[in-house]
Amino acid sequence: MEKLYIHEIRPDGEISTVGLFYSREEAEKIVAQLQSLPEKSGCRYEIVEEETVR
Amino acid sequence: MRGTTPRREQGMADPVLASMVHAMGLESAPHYSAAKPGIQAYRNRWAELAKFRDGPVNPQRIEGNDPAGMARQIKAKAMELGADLVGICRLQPHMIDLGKDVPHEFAIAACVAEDYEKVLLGADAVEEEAMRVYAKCAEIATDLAAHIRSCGYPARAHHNGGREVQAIPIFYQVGFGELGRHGSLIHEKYGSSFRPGIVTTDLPLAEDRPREFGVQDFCLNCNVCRLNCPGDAIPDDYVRTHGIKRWLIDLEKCYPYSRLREEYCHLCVDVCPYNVKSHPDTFRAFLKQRKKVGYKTPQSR
Repeated sequence: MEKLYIHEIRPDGEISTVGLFYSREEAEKIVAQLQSLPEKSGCRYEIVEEETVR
Repeated sequence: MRGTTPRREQGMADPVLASMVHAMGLESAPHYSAAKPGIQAYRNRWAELAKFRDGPVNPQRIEGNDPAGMARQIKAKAMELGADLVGICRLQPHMIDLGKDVPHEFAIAACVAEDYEKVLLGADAVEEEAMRVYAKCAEIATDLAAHIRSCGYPARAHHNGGREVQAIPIFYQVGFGELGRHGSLIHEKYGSSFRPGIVTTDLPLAEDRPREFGVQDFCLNCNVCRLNCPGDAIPDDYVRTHGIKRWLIDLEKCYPYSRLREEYCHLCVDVCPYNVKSHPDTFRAFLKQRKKVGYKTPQSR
Protein backbone atom coordinates (compact mmCIF):
# COMPACT_ATOMS: atom_id res chain seq x y z
CA MET A 1 0.00 0.00 0.00
CA GLU A 2 1.24 3.49 -0.66
CA LYS A 3 1.67 5.77 2.34
CA LEU A 4 0.63 9.37 1.92
CA TYR A 5 0.86 12.19 4.41
CA ILE A 6 -1.46 15.17 4.20
CA HIS A 7 0.21 18.38 5.33
CA GLU A 8 -1.80 21.55 5.93
CA ILE A 9 0.13 24.72 5.16
CA ARG A 10 -1.51 27.65 6.92
CA PRO A 11 -1.53 31.27 5.72
CA ASP A 12 1.16 32.15 8.31
CA GLY A 13 3.39 29.35 6.95
CA GLU A 14 2.83 26.97 9.88
CA ILE A 15 2.70 23.34 8.81
CA SER A 16 0.39 20.88 10.50
CA THR A 17 0.27 17.21 9.52
CA VAL A 18 -3.33 16.08 9.12
CA GLY A 19 -2.47 12.39 9.10
CA LEU A 20 -1.17 9.31 7.35
CA PHE A 21 -3.38 7.78 4.68
CA TYR A 22 -3.05 4.68 2.54
CA SER A 23 -4.58 5.60 -0.79
CA ARG A 24 -4.60 8.73 -2.92
CA GLU A 25 -8.38 8.44 -3.18
CA GLU A 26 -8.81 8.53 0.60
CA ALA A 27 -6.32 11.41 0.97
CA GLU A 28 -7.93 13.46 -1.79
CA LYS A 29 -11.36 12.95 -0.24
CA ILE A 30 -10.08 14.30 3.09
CA VAL A 31 -8.44 17.29 1.41
CA ALA A 32 -11.66 18.09 -0.49
CA GLN A 33 -13.61 18.01 2.78
CA LEU A 34 -11.10 20.31 4.47
CA GLN A 35 -11.07 22.72 1.53
CA SER A 36 -14.86 23.01 1.73
CA LEU A 37 -14.62 24.52 5.22
CA PRO A 38 -14.70 28.35 5.18
CA GLU A 39 -12.22 28.55 8.10
CA LYS A 40 -9.69 26.55 6.05
CA SER A 41 -10.02 28.66 2.91
CA GLY A 42 -6.56 30.22 3.41
CA CYS A 43 -4.85 26.86 3.86
CA ARG A 44 -2.95 24.90 1.24
CA TYR A 45 -2.69 21.11 1.27
CA GLU A 46 0.03 18.75 0.10
CA ILE A 47 -0.36 15.01 -0.32
CA VAL A 48 3.15 13.59 -0.20
CA GLU A 49 5.08 10.45 0.63
CA GLU A 50 7.32 12.26 3.11
CA GLU A 51 6.64 12.99 6.76
CA THR A 52 7.84 16.54 6.22
CA VAL A 53 6.83 19.11 3.63
CA ARG A 54 9.15 19.50 0.67
CA MET B 1 -18.88 24.59 15.64
CA ARG B 2 -17.78 22.45 12.72
CA GLY B 3 -15.06 19.86 13.07
CA THR B 4 -11.80 19.65 11.14
CA THR B 5 -10.20 16.34 12.16
CA PRO B 6 -10.73 13.20 10.06
CA ARG B 7 -11.85 10.17 12.06
CA ARG B 8 -10.61 6.71 11.19
CA GLU B 9 -13.66 4.48 11.20
CA GLN B 10 -13.71 1.14 13.01
CA GLY B 11 -14.01 -2.31 11.49
CA MET B 12 -14.67 -2.77 7.79
CA ALA B 13 -15.81 0.86 7.52
CA ASP B 14 -12.08 1.69 7.75
CA PRO B 15 -10.85 1.78 4.13
CA VAL B 16 -7.36 0.61 5.17
CA LEU B 17 -8.66 -2.51 6.89
CA ALA B 18 -11.21 -3.17 4.14
CA SER B 19 -8.55 -2.91 1.45
CA MET B 20 -6.07 -5.11 3.37
CA VAL B 21 -8.73 -7.78 3.91
CA HIS B 22 -9.60 -7.67 0.21
CA ALA B 23 -6.00 -7.57 -1.06
CA MET B 24 -5.00 -10.52 1.12
CA GLY B 25 -8.11 -12.51 0.20
CA LEU B 26 -9.11 -12.67 3.84
CA GLU B 27 -12.82 -11.96 3.47
CA SER B 28 -13.70 -15.29 5.05
CA ALA B 29 -10.79 -15.44 7.52
CA PRO B 30 -11.20 -14.35 11.15
CA HIS B 31 -10.28 -10.77 11.79
CA TYR B 32 -10.49 -8.60 14.87
CA SER B 33 -14.03 -8.56 16.13
CA ALA B 34 -15.50 -7.92 19.55
CA ALA B 35 -18.24 -10.50 19.27
CA LYS B 36 -16.92 -12.65 22.11
CA PRO B 37 -19.73 -13.34 24.60
CA GLY B 38 -18.18 -11.48 27.56
CA ILE B 39 -17.62 -8.45 25.41
CA GLN B 40 -20.93 -8.35 23.60
CA ALA B 41 -22.76 -7.39 26.80
CA TYR B 42 -20.59 -4.27 27.11
CA ARG B 43 -21.17 -3.40 23.44
CA ASN B 44 -24.90 -3.76 23.99
CA ARG B 45 -24.68 -1.43 26.99
CA TRP B 46 -23.13 1.48 25.11
CA ALA B 47 -25.44 0.89 22.15
CA GLU B 48 -28.53 1.10 24.39
CA LEU B 49 -27.20 4.35 25.90
CA ALA B 50 -26.93 5.93 22.44
CA LYS B 51 -30.48 7.23 22.52
CA PHE B 52 -29.84 9.04 25.83
CA ARG B 53 -26.82 11.02 24.62
CA ASP B 54 -28.87 14.20 24.34
CA GLY B 55 -32.30 15.28 25.53
CA PRO B 56 -34.57 18.06 26.73
CA VAL B 57 -33.05 20.84 28.81
CA ASN B 58 -34.69 22.02 32.05
CA PRO B 59 -36.15 25.49 31.34
CA GLN B 60 -35.34 26.49 34.96
CA ARG B 61 -31.66 27.35 34.56
CA ILE B 62 -29.43 27.57 37.65
CA GLU B 63 -27.07 30.59 38.00
CA GLY B 64 -24.00 30.16 35.81
CA ASN B 65 -21.89 33.10 36.92
CA ASP B 66 -19.22 31.18 38.83
CA PRO B 67 -17.36 29.03 36.24
CA ALA B 68 -14.70 27.96 38.74
CA GLY B 69 -17.25 26.85 41.32
CA MET B 70 -19.33 25.15 38.65
CA ALA B 71 -16.24 23.31 37.33
CA ARG B 72 -15.53 22.02 40.86
CA GLN B 73 -19.12 20.81 41.19
CA ILE B 74 -19.09 19.08 37.80
CA LYS B 75 -15.77 17.38 38.54
CA ALA B 76 -17.09 16.18 41.91
CA LYS B 77 -20.23 14.85 40.19
CA ALA B 78 -18.16 12.98 37.58
CA MET B 79 -15.99 11.42 40.33
CA GLU B 80 -19.15 10.45 42.24
CA LEU B 81 -20.37 8.71 39.09
CA GLY B 82 -17.14 6.70 38.94
CA ALA B 83 -14.60 8.72 36.93
CA ASP B 84 -10.93 8.55 37.91
CA LEU B 85 -9.84 11.60 35.89
CA VAL B 86 -11.88 14.69 34.99
CA GLY B 87 -10.78 17.72 32.98
CA ILE B 88 -12.43 20.62 31.20
CA CYS B 89 -11.46 22.64 28.13
CA ARG B 90 -13.00 24.97 25.60
CA LEU B 91 -14.14 22.98 22.56
CA GLN B 92 -12.13 23.71 19.39
CA PRO B 93 -12.73 22.66 15.75
CA HIS B 94 -9.78 20.22 15.73
CA MET B 95 -11.43 18.28 18.59
CA ILE B 96 -14.51 17.59 16.45
CA ASP B 97 -14.88 15.04 13.62
CA LEU B 98 -14.40 16.50 10.16
CA GLY B 99 -17.74 17.72 8.82
CA LYS B 100 -19.63 17.21 12.11
CA ASP B 101 -21.26 20.06 13.99
CA VAL B 102 -21.24 20.32 17.78
CA PRO B 103 -23.04 23.44 19.02
CA HIS B 104 -21.32 23.65 22.41
CA GLU B 105 -18.60 25.75 24.05
CA PHE B 106 -16.96 23.31 26.44
CA ALA B 107 -15.81 19.70 26.62
CA ILE B 108 -15.60 17.68 29.83
CA ALA B 109 -13.44 14.54 29.75
CA ALA B 110 -14.41 11.99 32.40
CA CYS B 111 -12.15 8.95 32.18
CA VAL B 112 -11.98 5.62 33.93
CA ALA B 113 -8.72 3.76 34.55
CA GLU B 114 -8.45 0.14 33.46
CA ASP B 115 -7.42 -2.56 35.90
CA TYR B 116 -3.80 -2.99 34.81
CA GLU B 117 -3.57 -6.31 36.69
CA LYS B 118 -5.35 -7.90 33.71
CA VAL B 119 -2.16 -7.75 31.62
CA LEU B 120 -0.93 -10.84 33.44
CA LEU B 121 -4.03 -12.80 32.41
CA GLY B 122 -3.61 -12.52 28.64
CA ALA B 123 -5.10 -10.76 25.64
CA ASP B 124 -8.73 -11.74 26.21
CA ALA B 125 -8.70 -10.43 29.78
CA VAL B 126 -7.14 -7.14 28.63
CA GLU B 127 -9.74 -6.77 25.88
CA GLU B 128 -12.66 -7.53 28.20
CA GLU B 129 -11.37 -4.99 30.72
CA ALA B 130 -11.10 -2.33 28.01
CA MET B 131 -14.69 -2.98 26.94
CA ARG B 132 -15.92 -2.95 30.55
CA VAL B 133 -14.31 0.46 31.03
CA TYR B 134 -15.70 1.80 27.73
CA ALA B 135 -19.20 0.81 28.93
CA LYS B 136 -18.61 2.45 32.32
CA CYS B 137 -17.43 5.64 30.57
CA ALA B 138 -20.61 5.61 28.44
CA GLU B 139 -22.70 5.42 31.62
CA ILE B 140 -20.78 8.25 33.29
CA ALA B 141 -20.97 10.54 30.23
CA THR B 142 -24.70 9.81 29.84
CA ASP B 143 -25.47 10.55 33.50
CA LEU B 144 -23.25 13.63 33.59
CA ALA B 145 -24.89 15.09 30.47
CA ALA B 146 -28.35 14.40 31.95
CA HIS B 147 -27.28 16.12 35.18
CA ILE B 148 -26.13 19.23 33.30
CA ARG B 149 -29.36 19.34 31.28
CA SER B 150 -31.30 19.14 34.56
CA CYS B 151 -29.40 22.28 35.62
CA GLY B 152 -30.78 24.10 32.57
CA TYR B 153 -27.85 23.86 30.09
CA PRO B 154 -27.56 21.86 26.86
CA ALA B 155 -25.24 18.87 27.15
CA ARG B 156 -24.47 15.84 24.99
CA ALA B 157 -22.65 12.62 25.90
CA HIS B 158 -19.98 11.25 23.54
CA HIS B 159 -18.93 7.62 23.90
CA ASN B 160 -18.63 4.38 21.92
CA GLY B 161 -22.39 4.38 21.34
CA GLY B 162 -22.13 7.65 19.40
CA ARG B 163 -19.78 10.61 19.27
CA GLU B 164 -18.76 13.59 17.21
CA VAL B 165 -15.63 14.51 19.16
CA GLN B 166 -12.14 13.01 19.37
CA ALA B 167 -10.73 12.01 22.71
CA ILE B 168 -7.00 12.60 22.32
CA PRO B 169 -7.00 16.33 21.45
CA ILE B 170 -9.43 16.89 24.34
CA PHE B 171 -7.27 14.81 26.73
CA TYR B 172 -4.26 16.91 25.74
CA GLN B 173 -6.05 20.22 26.21
CA VAL B 174 -7.50 19.33 29.64
CA GLY B 175 -4.01 18.44 30.85
CA PHE B 176 -4.26 14.67 31.22
CA GLY B 177 -0.83 14.27 29.67
CA GLU B 178 1.27 14.15 26.52
CA LEU B 179 1.18 12.09 23.35
CA GLY B 180 3.40 9.05 23.57
CA ARG B 181 5.42 7.33 20.89
CA HIS B 182 2.75 4.60 20.67
CA GLY B 183 0.19 7.20 19.56
CA SER B 184 -1.89 7.30 22.73
CA LEU B 185 -1.87 9.97 25.39
CA ILE B 186 0.19 9.15 28.47
CA HIS B 187 -0.93 10.16 31.95
CA GLU B 188 1.72 10.34 34.66
CA LYS B 189 -0.05 7.77 36.89
CA TYR B 190 -2.24 5.66 34.59
CA GLY B 191 -0.01 5.58 31.50
CA SER B 192 -2.43 5.04 28.63
CA SER B 193 -4.53 2.54 30.55
CA PHE B 194 -7.70 4.61 30.70
CA ARG B 195 -10.71 5.17 28.44
CA PRO B 196 -12.81 8.19 27.60
CA GLY B 197 -16.27 9.44 28.28
CA ILE B 198 -16.85 12.99 27.08
CA VAL B 199 -19.62 15.55 27.53
CA THR B 200 -19.95 18.71 25.49
CA THR B 201 -21.99 21.54 26.96
CA ASP B 202 -22.72 25.27 27.12
CA LEU B 203 -22.56 25.31 30.90
CA PRO B 204 -19.93 28.00 31.68
CA LEU B 205 -16.93 26.22 33.22
CA ALA B 206 -13.38 27.16 34.23
CA GLU B 207 -10.91 25.51 31.85
CA ASP B 208 -7.95 23.30 32.67
CA ARG B 209 -4.66 23.69 30.79
CA PRO B 210 -2.31 21.34 28.91
CA ARG B 211 0.36 19.87 31.16
CA GLU B 212 3.78 18.60 30.20
CA PHE B 213 5.86 16.44 32.50
CA GLY B 214 8.57 15.06 30.23
CA VAL B 215 6.72 12.24 28.42
CA GLN B 216 7.83 13.14 24.92
CA ASP B 217 11.47 13.58 25.93
CA PHE B 218 11.25 10.20 27.64
CA CYS B 219 9.66 8.59 24.55
CA LEU B 220 12.52 9.85 22.35
CA ASN B 221 14.90 7.57 24.26
CA CYS B 222 12.61 4.77 25.38
CA ASN B 223 11.98 2.00 22.91
CA VAL B 224 9.97 -0.41 25.02
CA CYS B 225 6.77 -0.09 22.97
CA ARG B 226 8.73 -0.42 19.71
CA LEU B 227 10.66 -3.39 21.07
CA ASN B 228 7.38 -5.15 21.84
CA CYS B 229 5.32 -4.19 18.78
CA PRO B 230 4.85 -7.43 16.81
CA GLY B 231 4.35 -5.51 13.57
CA ASP B 232 7.12 -2.88 13.92
CA ALA B 233 4.37 -0.29 13.46
CA ILE B 234 5.77 2.37 15.79
CA PRO B 235 7.87 4.91 13.90
CA ASP B 236 11.20 6.60 14.54
CA ASP B 237 10.15 10.01 13.36
CA TYR B 238 7.40 12.28 14.52
CA VAL B 239 5.27 14.89 12.81
CA ARG B 240 3.68 18.04 14.20
CA THR B 241 -0.06 18.60 14.25
CA HIS B 242 -1.33 21.93 15.56
CA GLY B 243 2.20 22.51 16.84
CA ILE B 244 2.20 19.32 18.92
CA LYS B 245 4.67 16.52 18.31
CA ARG B 246 3.06 13.15 17.53
CA TRP B 247 4.11 9.76 16.23
CA LEU B 248 1.86 8.25 13.56
CA ILE B 249 1.40 4.49 13.85
CA ASP B 250 1.74 2.60 10.56
CA LEU B 251 -1.64 0.92 10.32
CA GLU B 252 -0.56 -1.40 7.54
CA LYS B 253 1.94 -2.93 9.98
CA CYS B 254 -0.32 -2.69 13.04
CA TYR B 255 -3.49 -4.21 11.63
CA PRO B 256 -2.19 -7.77 10.98
CA TYR B 257 -1.78 -8.01 14.78
CA SER B 258 -4.52 -5.72 16.07
CA ARG B 259 -7.29 -6.32 13.54
CA LEU B 260 -6.54 -9.40 11.48
CA ARG B 261 -6.15 -11.79 14.39
CA GLU B 262 -8.79 -13.16 16.72
CA GLU B 263 -6.94 -11.79 19.73
CA TYR B 264 -6.57 -8.28 20.98
CA CYS B 265 -3.20 -6.53 20.70
CA HIS B 266 -2.71 -3.82 23.26
CA LEU B 267 0.96 -4.48 23.86
CA CYS B 268 2.33 -1.03 23.02
CA VAL B 269 0.21 0.50 25.76
CA ASP B 270 0.60 -2.32 28.28
CA VAL B 271 4.42 -2.31 28.19
CA CYS B 272 4.71 1.49 28.57
CA PRO B 273 6.91 2.26 31.60
CA TYR B 274 4.44 4.95 32.70
CA ASN B 275 2.33 2.06 34.06
CA VAL B 276 4.98 1.41 36.69
CA LYS B 277 3.81 4.15 39.06
CA SER B 278 0.32 2.78 39.56
CA HIS B 279 1.24 -0.94 39.40
CA PRO B 280 4.99 -1.42 40.07
CA ASP B 281 4.94 -5.16 40.81
CA THR B 282 2.57 -6.06 37.97
CA PHE B 283 4.53 -3.97 35.50
CA ARG B 284 7.81 -5.71 36.40
CA ALA B 285 6.17 -9.14 36.24
CA PHE B 286 4.62 -8.33 32.87
CA LEU B 287 7.90 -7.10 31.42
CA LYS B 288 9.56 -10.33 32.59
CA GLN B 289 6.80 -12.25 30.81
CA ARG B 290 7.40 -10.22 27.65
CA LYS B 291 11.15 -10.84 27.78
CA LYS B 292 10.57 -14.57 28.18
CA VAL B 293 8.50 -14.75 24.98
CA GLY B 294 10.99 -12.64 23.02
CA TYR B 295 9.17 -9.29 23.23
CA LYS B 296 7.58 -9.17 19.80
CA THR B 297 5.51 -12.33 20.24
CA PRO B 298 1.84 -11.42 20.32
CA GLN B 299 -0.04 -12.34 23.47
CA SER B 300 -1.88 -15.60 23.32
CA ARG B 301 -4.49 -17.47 25.33
